[in-house]
Amino acid sequence: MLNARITLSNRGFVGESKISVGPGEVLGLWGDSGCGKTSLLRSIAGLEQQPHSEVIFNNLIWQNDRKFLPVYERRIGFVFQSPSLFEFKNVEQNLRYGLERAKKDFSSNTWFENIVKLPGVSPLLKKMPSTLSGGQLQRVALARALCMQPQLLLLDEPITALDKGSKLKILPFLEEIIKDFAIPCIYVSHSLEEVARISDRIAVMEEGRITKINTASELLADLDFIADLKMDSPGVFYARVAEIDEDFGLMTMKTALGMIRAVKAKNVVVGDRMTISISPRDVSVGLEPKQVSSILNRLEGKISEIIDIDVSQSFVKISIKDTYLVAKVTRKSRMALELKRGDRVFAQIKSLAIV
Amino acid sequence: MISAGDYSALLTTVKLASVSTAFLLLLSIPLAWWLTRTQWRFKFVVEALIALPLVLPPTVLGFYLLIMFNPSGFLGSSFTALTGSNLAFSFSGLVIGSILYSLPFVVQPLQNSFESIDRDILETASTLGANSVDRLVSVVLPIAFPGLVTASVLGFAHTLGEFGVVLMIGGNIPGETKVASIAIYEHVESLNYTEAHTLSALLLGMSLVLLMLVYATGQRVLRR
Repeated sequence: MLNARITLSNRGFVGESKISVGPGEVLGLWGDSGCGKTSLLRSIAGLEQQPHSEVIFNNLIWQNDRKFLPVYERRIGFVFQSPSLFEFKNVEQNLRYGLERAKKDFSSNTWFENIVKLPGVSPLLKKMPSTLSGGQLQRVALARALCMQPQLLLLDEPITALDKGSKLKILPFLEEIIKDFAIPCIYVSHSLEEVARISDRIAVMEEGRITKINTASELLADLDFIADLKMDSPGVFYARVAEIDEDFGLMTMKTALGMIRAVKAKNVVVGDRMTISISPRDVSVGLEPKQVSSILNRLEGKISEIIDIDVSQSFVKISIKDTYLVAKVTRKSRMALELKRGDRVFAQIKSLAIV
Repeated sequence: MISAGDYSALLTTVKLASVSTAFLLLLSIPLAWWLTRTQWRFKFVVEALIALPLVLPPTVLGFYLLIMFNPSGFLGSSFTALTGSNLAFSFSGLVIGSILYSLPFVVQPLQNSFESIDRDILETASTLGANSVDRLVSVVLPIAFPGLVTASVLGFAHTLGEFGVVLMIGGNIPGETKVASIAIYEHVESLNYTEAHTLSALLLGMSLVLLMLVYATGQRVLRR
């Protein structure tokens, strides 16, 4: 369990942030560039020393007013935006670097074997870093951070520098590792969608301090919050593939919203877990249960909140089962349908828009 | 073709250059690493002191060393107390002189290559459990290997060509402090041009080969 109280005071703003992350939990740290999220992460790691701050891990003091434990004595796994592999060592030697320095009492060979056997890593062991692609380098960097069996995983924009193809490939790898190894983790990114996919809770950072902490699903359905965002921010849901329709190239997934049909992704089999994102602009609102339309997904729910973003658009927050889905509709449609809080409606999602 | 005296002078030269280079590396690696890392406001003073032999006439350096090596002086007397022998006009004295004289040629290439190492790499090593000394040995030196080669070769080659300092503090004891550059000077003084030719050609060849090695490692040689 990590408990930290960090006062950032080196960027012209002074702000105090409190963070606690439990075992197996992923806290996303999100904010615009320059908001101090990287500084906050580096302070928790001990790469920066902020005065008037306190970092306590499992009742062990890492930092307070009198004490500062150097980075190399904290058991952390840290991944930077650049993979920072040791170019003069091959992949396996890179992986062993942390293990060789780990104190005997916590270095376990079975742990190391599990990392080396990871599907994204094992074929690369004998290669030199200069021969790897960006995505492969970052996978190795992540595996290296895990090799010494860290108590805390800190990821600073780990996939930001990658191209879109590599991103889509490494994201499931990352999600799986974080879930499998059950280490508390802080994930920093300026991409809200990325943070939402991977995090249990999201901390929003502005001008050097955390202004809001909430679960990903609550935050992305917080209309005041998403209305202020400069871009569209999709809702993110865990999904398990329940059925595959090869004839039409569709898959049916079980999610917190209910069954959802989407275009079948490549190499997917029944039982696979994935994260899907649904953008508010791809959700429309209907009043009738049976409507003739090309839409495959129609989910019944209750309107829990409506706000107008500007003169032409509105957000409608629909409560479905135990979670929320946000629809972005024109203000004209909202008036024409006479939508109001408490109405029973049908949220319609285009299958093609689910990624 | 080469006289026993000249052979012994060459041997002394190579021995001096090797011993000095070894000590120079031991001294310069921590020094250059400290210069790279320190935030100290007055680090420029240290840098200027190290660079001094680049501009100072070797005779000036040699003169001050001679004063310090005097058996009644602080350095001279403590050395005599420790080893029972004299510093002035001894091989040990020459080594000390050479270290000072060649220091910038070793420190500067090292500092250059240390400074070009990415901060993320070093911080990654810290997060993987490496302390400061460990980082220097396991990450910095392997990455800075070409700089290390440049520094060693330059230190070695520069000591080979040393003349002024040796003249002041070394004297001319065959087999002990008589180096090749001094031997050439003496041959010319006594008009033995043939011997001077042979020794000069040997020094020229050695220096050229060594410098080619430096440039072959593809490094910027010196930051001036």
